[in-house]
Amino acid sequence: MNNGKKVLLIEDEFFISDLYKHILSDAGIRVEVAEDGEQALQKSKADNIGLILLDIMLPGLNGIEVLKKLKEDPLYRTIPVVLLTNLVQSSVVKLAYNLGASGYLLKVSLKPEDLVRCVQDYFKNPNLKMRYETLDLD
Amino acid sequence: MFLPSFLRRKGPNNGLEEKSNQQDLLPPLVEFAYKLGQEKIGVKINTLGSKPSSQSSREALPQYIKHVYDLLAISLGPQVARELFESQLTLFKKTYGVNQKYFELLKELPIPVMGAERLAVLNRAELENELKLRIKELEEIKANLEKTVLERTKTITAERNKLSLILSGITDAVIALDLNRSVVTFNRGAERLIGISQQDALGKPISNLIKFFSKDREMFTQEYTPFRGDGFEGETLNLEGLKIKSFNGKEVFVNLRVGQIREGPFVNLGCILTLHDVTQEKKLEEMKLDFVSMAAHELRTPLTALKGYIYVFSKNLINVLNEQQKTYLLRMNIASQRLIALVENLLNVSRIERGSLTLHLEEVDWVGNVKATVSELLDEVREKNQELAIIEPTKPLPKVKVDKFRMNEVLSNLLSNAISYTPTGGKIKVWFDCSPDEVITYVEDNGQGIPKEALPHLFTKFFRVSGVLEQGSKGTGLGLYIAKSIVDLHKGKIRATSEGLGKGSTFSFSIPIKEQVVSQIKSIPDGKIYIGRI
Repeated sequence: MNNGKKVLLIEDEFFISDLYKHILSDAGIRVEVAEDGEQALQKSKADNIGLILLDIMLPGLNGIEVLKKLKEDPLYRTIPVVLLTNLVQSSVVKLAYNLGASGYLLKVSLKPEDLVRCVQDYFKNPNLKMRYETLDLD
Repeated sequence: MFLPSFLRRKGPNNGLEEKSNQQDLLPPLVEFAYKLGQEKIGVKINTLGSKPSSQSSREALPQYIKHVYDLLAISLGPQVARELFESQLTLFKKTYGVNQKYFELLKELPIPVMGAERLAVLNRAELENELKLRIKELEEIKANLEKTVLERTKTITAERNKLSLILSGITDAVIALDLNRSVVTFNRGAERLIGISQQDALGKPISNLIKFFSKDREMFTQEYTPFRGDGFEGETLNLEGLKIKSFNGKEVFVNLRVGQIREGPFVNLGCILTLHDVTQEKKLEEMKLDFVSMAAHELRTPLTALKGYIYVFSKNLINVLNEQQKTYLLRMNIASQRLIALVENLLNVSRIERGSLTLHLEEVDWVGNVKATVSELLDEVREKNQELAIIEPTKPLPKVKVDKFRMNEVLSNLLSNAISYTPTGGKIKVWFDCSPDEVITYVEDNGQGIPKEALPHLFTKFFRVSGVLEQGSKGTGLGLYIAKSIVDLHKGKIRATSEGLGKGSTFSFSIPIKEQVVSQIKSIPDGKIYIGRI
């Protein structure tokens, strides 16, 4: 059903990454976890990455820089990137959208079933864009 | 006018002429002086002394007249004293004619009356004497005058020095302007604030030194230096949080007060400006907001984990837990949900204070949305064994345009309050009302109610109902403040009613239906991008 697609979860907080890994695995979705920007760029080279969930506050390269590098590379440009973070200024989201991000999720108010649905939606339609105007911004 | 008794008896045209040449005028004048003294000062001062009798020596008469004259001069002023005596002498002149006796009287009088006439009757030696006396008098007057001037000058200098010391001791900037709005006073506080020395500032038009901004618009000089022409004295302007830019580009925030004095137009003083620097306070306020915002954001991460693991835990183990264990888990979930709401409220307050709370409007099926929000709080309702009813409107409501996320914060704040302040087993009701202009949502409970005196303050920041509610109170005093701010942004109205303690309360808020011009307080401030670890 997922055509072997995987989610790349870029998240440095182990409690969070393990939680999401668990939730997604329970729903039958395969998950790769990267703990920092460097690892993220390395692991996005893997085959079958259908969606990248990207935290913004990361050690080393921050999320915006990772996003920029991903979107600069023709190999990964087509992989949809959804920001998954707890700290989002409207200006940061705007910047991320300009750089090619497809959506944004606020971790603290995200229900597990919504996360699963979001991943499945992007697996089905990688060109999906969340409407920027209706996002819950800080 | 006083007349000696013998004159009064006989009258001026009653055969006086024949007698007049023999009349010694000194005794009647003594009589006059005595009566005058009694009339004008005798009651007040007991120094009038006894009138010389007919046995007194001749020298005593002019001496007595001088004594009374001096007393009058002290109490009524020399001018008045002289006029009183001169009018009496004029009367003598009219009655007796200008005869030898009259001139003798003048010569004998040691008081300065009838100056010109006296000179006419003096011989050379007497004239010289008189002249010396007059010169001495003048010199005395001059000396007195100089002394007075010196004293006044000292007083004025002291006042001026006192004022300048006070001005230099004031940390606020004090700037006085003349009628052309050029600087005439510029204290040390002003030097520090504007960054220019007093010397360089004096005489310059104020508009060359400082620019005032209201929000981002530069103000006209007349706006911040008003002159009132109606003889007004006092404060003419009081503005807070103004941005000013000094001529060298320095930017500070000030509270401005402007005043004027009544004598201003006569001494070329237009107005006096006092500028209180609030830049540091503003910075501190921002630091506080930054800190709250940062702390709240940091709290989100562990809360996300807490809530997430409770979810995973209950989902996996729900079938093997006994009822008590399930209750514990439910309570953990409620507590974490409350903590999240609290953190979100803190963030909202810092957004409101910053003016960066903005709305992202979308069309919403209002009743459906309310149901969804209510369902998130059902755990708490169940825990308190309360009854929560949503009464659907009989006619479908029109769609409303709101910021769904923010409006749901209003709803959940009102619902949380209703749950918290209603005892176990209580009832909560949500219902709707609709007019052509607005949709009104009501949250009604039969809980603790609100005392009358607290009602007007409910929506004030940090306000908490004190007294009876204190012990059971859980709030931060932020929820209703936030709710009101959000409803205000939507151009709606929020209200609270209660019949009193123990009688429940009803909160309502309206959402306008007509095309709303929703205000965005401020665009999102630039340069505040948090990236990477803080």
